[in-house]
Amino acid sequence: MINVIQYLEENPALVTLMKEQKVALIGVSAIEQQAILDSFDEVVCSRDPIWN
Amino acid sequence: MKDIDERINETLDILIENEAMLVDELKTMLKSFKAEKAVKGYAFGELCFWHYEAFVDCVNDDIFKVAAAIELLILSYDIIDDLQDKDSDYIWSETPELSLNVALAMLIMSSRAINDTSFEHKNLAIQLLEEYAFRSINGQQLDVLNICRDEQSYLQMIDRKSGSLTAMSCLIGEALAKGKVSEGIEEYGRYIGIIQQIKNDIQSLKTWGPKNDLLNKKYSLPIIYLLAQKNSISNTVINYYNGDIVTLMDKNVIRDELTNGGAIRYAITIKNLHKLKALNILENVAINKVGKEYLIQLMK
Repeated sequence: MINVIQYLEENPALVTLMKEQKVALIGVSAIEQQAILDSFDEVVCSRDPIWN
Repeated sequence: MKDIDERINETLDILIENEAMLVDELKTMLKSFKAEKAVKGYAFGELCFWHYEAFVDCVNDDIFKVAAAIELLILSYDIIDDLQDKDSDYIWSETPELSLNVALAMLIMSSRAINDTSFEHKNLAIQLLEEYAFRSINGQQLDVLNICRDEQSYLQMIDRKSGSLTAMSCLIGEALAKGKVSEGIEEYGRYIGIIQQIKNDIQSLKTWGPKNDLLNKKYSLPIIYLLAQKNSISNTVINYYNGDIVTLMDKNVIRDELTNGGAIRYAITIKNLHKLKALNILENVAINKVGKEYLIQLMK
C-alpha cells in the first residue's frame, strides 16, 4: 500500500480518473480502492490548527 | 433507563467500595484513578453492553458489573502503558511504584467481579477475558520493544495490543447472552481497536512534544511510510532514528512531508480499509439502531 499511495501522490491526476472509474489499479481490490479514494477526500492539511 | 456510561460509572464505584480485600491506601488511589478515567467515558464497557443487549430479550442488570469489570482491566492496562511510556499527563504517573500495585489489584478485581455475577455463561466470559488480555500483553511487549517496522508487523502488533481489547469487550457481551461467540463480531471487534490505534498514531504526530512518536523514535504507519521514502527528509529522520549523528530536524519541514508526502494519507487509507471491512460485517449483525450507531462512530 505504501507504493500505491506514493505513486498516487506523485500522479494526482490518476486519483481523479479513478473516481471517474476511467482507470483501475491492478492488484488492488475494490475495497482497497475505495479506502484509497476516501482518504483522498479527507482533508490532510498542515495548516490544520491541531498541528502545533 | 439511565445512560449506559452512567450505569457503568455507578457500578465501578460500588465495586471499588465493596472490595473488602483492598486496604484503604489502595482504595483511595483506585477511586482517584477511576475518577480520571470517568472523564473519557467507558467505550469498552459499552461495547460489552451492546453485544449482550443485542442477543437477549430481557437485560440482566449484572451486565453493568461485567462492563465495569472490563473497564477495570482496561484502566489497569492504561496505567501500565503510561508508566512504560513515561507519560506524565495522568495522576497515576505521580507515584509509579504505588500505581503499579493499584493496576495489579484492578486486574484481580476484574475477573473476580465477573465471577460474582449470576450469568450462566460467566466462565466462558472469564476465559475470553484471560485469553484476549494475554493477546494484548503480547502486543504491548512488541510495542515497547519497538521492533515492528513494516506495515504487516505493525498491523499485527496493534491488532494484538488494541484489537484484542475491543474484540474481548464485544465477545464477552455476546458470550454472556448466547453461550458462544461469532467470528464476524470477533473480526470487526478487532478492527475497532486497530482503527482507534491508527487515529491515536496520527494524533501523536500532530503535537511536537514529549508524546510525539517521531521525536521518541517510535514506529507507526505514517513514520513507516516516511522512512520508506528516498529523499533528504527521510534520510534526516533515518539518521535521527539511528542516532549515529547529531540530527537537527525542522518541525515545519517534517510536518509538510508528513502531510504533503502521503504519510498521513497512507495511515488514513489503512484506517479506512479496516473501517470498510468492519462496516461490511456489521451490516449482517442484529444489533439495534442505537447500538449500531455507537459502533459505526467507533469505526470512523
